[in-house]
Amino acid sequence: MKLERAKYEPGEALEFYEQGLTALGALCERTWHDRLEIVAEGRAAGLWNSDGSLHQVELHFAPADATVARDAAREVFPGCPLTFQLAEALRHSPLPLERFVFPNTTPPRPPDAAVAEKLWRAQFPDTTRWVLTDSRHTEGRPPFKPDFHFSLVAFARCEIQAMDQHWSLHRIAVSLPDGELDDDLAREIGFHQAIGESTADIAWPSPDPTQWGVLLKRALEQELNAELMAVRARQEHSLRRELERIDDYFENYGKELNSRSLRSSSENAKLKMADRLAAAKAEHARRRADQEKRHEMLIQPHVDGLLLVAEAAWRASLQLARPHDLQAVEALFIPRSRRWLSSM
Amino acid sequence: MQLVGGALNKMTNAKQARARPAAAKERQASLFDAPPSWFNLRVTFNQVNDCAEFVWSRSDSNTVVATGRTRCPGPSQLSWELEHNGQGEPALTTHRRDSIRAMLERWLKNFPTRAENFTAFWLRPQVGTDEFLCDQEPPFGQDESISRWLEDQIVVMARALGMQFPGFDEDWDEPPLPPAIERYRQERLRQERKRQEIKLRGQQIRARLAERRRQQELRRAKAQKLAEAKTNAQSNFKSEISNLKSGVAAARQVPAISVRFDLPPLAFQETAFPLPDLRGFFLRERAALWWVSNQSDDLLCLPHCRIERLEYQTRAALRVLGPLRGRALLSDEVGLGKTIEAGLVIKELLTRGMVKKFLVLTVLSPVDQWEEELSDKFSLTTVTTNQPGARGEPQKFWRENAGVIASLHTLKQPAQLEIARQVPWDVLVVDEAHYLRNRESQAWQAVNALPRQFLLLLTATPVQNSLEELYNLVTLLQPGQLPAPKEFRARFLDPKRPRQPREPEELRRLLGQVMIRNTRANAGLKLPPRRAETVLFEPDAAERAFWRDWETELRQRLTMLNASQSSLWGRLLLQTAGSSPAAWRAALEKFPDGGAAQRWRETALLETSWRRKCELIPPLTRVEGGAVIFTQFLETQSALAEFLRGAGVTTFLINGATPAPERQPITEQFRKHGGALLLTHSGTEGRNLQFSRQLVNFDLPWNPMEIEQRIGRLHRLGQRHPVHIYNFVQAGTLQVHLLQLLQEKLNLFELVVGETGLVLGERFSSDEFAEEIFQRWRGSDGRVAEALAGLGDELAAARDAYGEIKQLDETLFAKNYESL
Repeated sequence: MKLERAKYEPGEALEFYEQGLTALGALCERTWHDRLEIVAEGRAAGLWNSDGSLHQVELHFAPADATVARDAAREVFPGCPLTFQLAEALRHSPLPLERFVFPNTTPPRPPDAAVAEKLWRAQFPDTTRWVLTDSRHTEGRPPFKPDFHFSLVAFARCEIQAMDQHWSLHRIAVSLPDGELDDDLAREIGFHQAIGESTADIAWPSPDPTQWGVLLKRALEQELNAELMAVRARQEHSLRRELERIDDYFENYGKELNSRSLRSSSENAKLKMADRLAAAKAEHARRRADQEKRHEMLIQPHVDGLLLVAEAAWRASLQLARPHDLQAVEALFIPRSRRWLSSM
Repeated sequence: MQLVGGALNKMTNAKQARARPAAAKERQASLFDAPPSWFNLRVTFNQVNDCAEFVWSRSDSNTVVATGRTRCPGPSQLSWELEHNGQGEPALTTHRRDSIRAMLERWLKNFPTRAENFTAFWLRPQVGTDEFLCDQEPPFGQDESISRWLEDQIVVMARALGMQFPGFDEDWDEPPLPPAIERYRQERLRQERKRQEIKLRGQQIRARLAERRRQQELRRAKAQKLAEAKTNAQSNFKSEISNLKSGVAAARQVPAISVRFDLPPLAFQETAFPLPDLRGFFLRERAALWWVSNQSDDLLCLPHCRIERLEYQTRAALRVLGPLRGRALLSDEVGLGKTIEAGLVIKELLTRGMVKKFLVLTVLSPVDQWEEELSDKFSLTTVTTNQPGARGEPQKFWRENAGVIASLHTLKQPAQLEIARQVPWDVLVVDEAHYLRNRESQAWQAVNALPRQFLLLLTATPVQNSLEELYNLVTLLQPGQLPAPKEFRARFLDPKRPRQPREPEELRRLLGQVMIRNTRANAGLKLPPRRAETVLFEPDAAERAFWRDWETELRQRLTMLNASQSSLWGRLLLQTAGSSPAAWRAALEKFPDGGAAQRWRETALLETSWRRKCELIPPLTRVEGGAVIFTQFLETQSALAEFLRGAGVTTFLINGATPAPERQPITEQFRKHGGALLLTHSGTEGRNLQFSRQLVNFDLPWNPMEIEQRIGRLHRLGQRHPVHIYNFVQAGTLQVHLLQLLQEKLNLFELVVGETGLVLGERFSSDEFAEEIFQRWRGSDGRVAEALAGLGDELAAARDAYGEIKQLDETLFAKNYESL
């Protein structure tokens, strides 16, 4: 999920500064609608001095369209260094893997077997003979057992370098362990900022940086796809134009050299021309390669937040047949997204 | 409303203009001949509701028979509403007098009236109250035409009310408009004419461009046909050509864009307990969002740069980074700060993390200056080829440093070039790029061989001898931006006038896609004039004789030293002699010939002329802004400071020993209190003294560039007064001849800051000029003026050549390239 850029507005910037600096331990007081008095020490003072010594300043939040010269240490304006520094100070290093238990959104009862089957079939249309095995073999026991489903939520600043630079911020959620992109969770988690579930007996999955890195990369690639298409089209257009220009030039230059060579009767001159022609060809190839390199695109995501989310789910044993194959599978039903998760 | 009210008020003035020409009266009379009966007519010009109200009543019973109302609903419309016997009769006319007249005639024909039955009133709002004032028009005489008077009043009313609407129709005839309205009307007409002109010009340009495109296509097709015909006709080069063609055809395919997804390995630290809430997580996300959103399209590096913010420089940097995509020819006029623009581009790319390695190439002398500027103004650490590391460990020098400043001379050396060409440079800046004007030159070839992502070529004079030089620069930057050499020559070059393009507009268009050229005019840098004055003071006879003998003896003594020592001591002693007795005596202390030095020190009687020289300063310090006094030597500075303080002049001192943080406060004190600010060369750097307008060259450095730098401290952006430059020299000394040379031959005090280097060019680098002066003095055998004459001619020729180049550049690039 791409997060829309915040439009610079002095009031909003002030609020961010107040929250951010307070989180860093500074004392903040709004002295006017566009002014914030700050007394900072340590990490918060690091915005102004590298040793973090006590610093007192009244920050002025300039209007976006102000044209007068800016004081980078006392003023906040679009593109100002203080905003970058504050954002960087709030970023934790090394990146922490935080955990959060989704508040209890699970209905008290497990889903009806018929509904669960319908949802399964909608998700896996090629399934036949779907049976909840627990309900058939163990009378009296509920066919669903309460369990937890885990997802990885991350936000990443994505930098696309394609001659110029594009930055965007994305919040992505991938389901564990299959790595499926879960846009609903990415969106929904924003609404669950209040209080998480306090459950002590959750068997959290063991962190696997390598595997999770792969999952995140895949998810980000998918996430950035639309954005990249546009940049890529622009790059292709530019490269085509540049190459045409270069090709035209060297083609004409080559022809000029040829015709000069043809006009000359001296063998020596012809040899010299042949040399120049060869040099022109080499130069042509070099210039083309230079342009191709110039038009390369580099995507660099910077993961700034990582959250392992646990949410209540229902586990069930199933027996089903998919094309010519009868299988017994363990599956997890996630009530929030009304979908099944299976290792099948 | 104010305008309308005001305009309507003016209607009262029109009541004096009731006398009409006889013909008009006759015409009016004939219209209303022999009416059957007369009606009373009461007309109220209501300035409160912006309308004219008509009330007709019977003359016998005073019963109202009809009412009418005239309003202005649009820019050129008048509505006429007549109510008679309970029936409304609306009508619309334009604001034109004839339409108004026709309508009035119609109404007055239906309800005839005459002067004695006619009354007119003016209803006006009272300023500051909610009440109205009602004035009655004086009674009308028998011979006065009511209809004509009404017509006049309604015309004026219509005009006044119509102006409140956009698209107001100015198609008016008489009477003459009030001045404010007339001015407004003229302005509107002018704007309309301008719009038409722009439209026409646009059409012409479009037509011209279309024609040019057509011509180009025809030319290209023709050239292609011709080439193909030739190709087919010649068989002996068939294989070569086919190879070439196949190569081009293969090359024509656009390769796929390479996309690299570079997610660094995921590394994190586990936390022990689940979060109770996500406030911290979302605060960090919000911070990341602000970080991303703060990436503006403006220059992010500006707060990290210590430069004067000049809009044209910022615009140039943004244009290089934006539309020109990092490859540009920066050809600002001299002194506009191409270095700053290039520095901004480098700093911005570094700030955004888009580049890691940059290389600045320049001629030998400005290498250190670049290092200093990048460090002072942009906090960029660099290494230079002037440092020993460049020669000692070239591999390390080229490969391991993020910022390198190298001389073209060093780069051209095969061993150095071999290494440099293997380094993928992100940004390559070539200063004084006119040295790359020859495509066959080693410098051009060397620069062309360097791999680079962004490329900036900096020169104030891209064309010096022929347009081909410009062609070579553009080709280095972007091959194919200009056509192939033969076609370029055919299209743009006139062999008889190699500096004049054949199709200047087309060339301008092509260059505009790669070139930025700010001029003083478009940058708004019109500086006040400079006035240089020579302050010649005569020594007494004994002193004059002493100096003459001393110079002769010095020449002899120097022959006893080796070449480098001779040059070193000769230059030092001659320059100190022109500066102050204190500096001269201090220099003599270490002179190798101690005996002679001792004798000179003892026999010299210099105090009279020194005092005379110093006494000239105090009057200058009393002028607003004080006087800035430059000296070459510390001893001179302190001796002069002592004299000035003794004379009661507020004196400030900055030299190399003054700690950097103290320099600005001293300058500020000088700005506040005036007096004298004494500076040496090392104290000069970075001082902006445009608030002062008097400069004293207390002594004359032998390096013209240094004098130019002195002038540049005062004669810069922000200077509002003419700058007076006082050059202090003692009659009969080498200094006089030197000053004459600089003033008359080089035109040093007339040149714009930055131009001196271009005039001196390759002939004299920083130290060479001083050396040349010394050598000529040594060989002069006392006839210094004659010895320097040849150098003067050389300088005059260089100045003229530069003048020509400047003229050419102004012709070629007369218009503002920046805005293209």
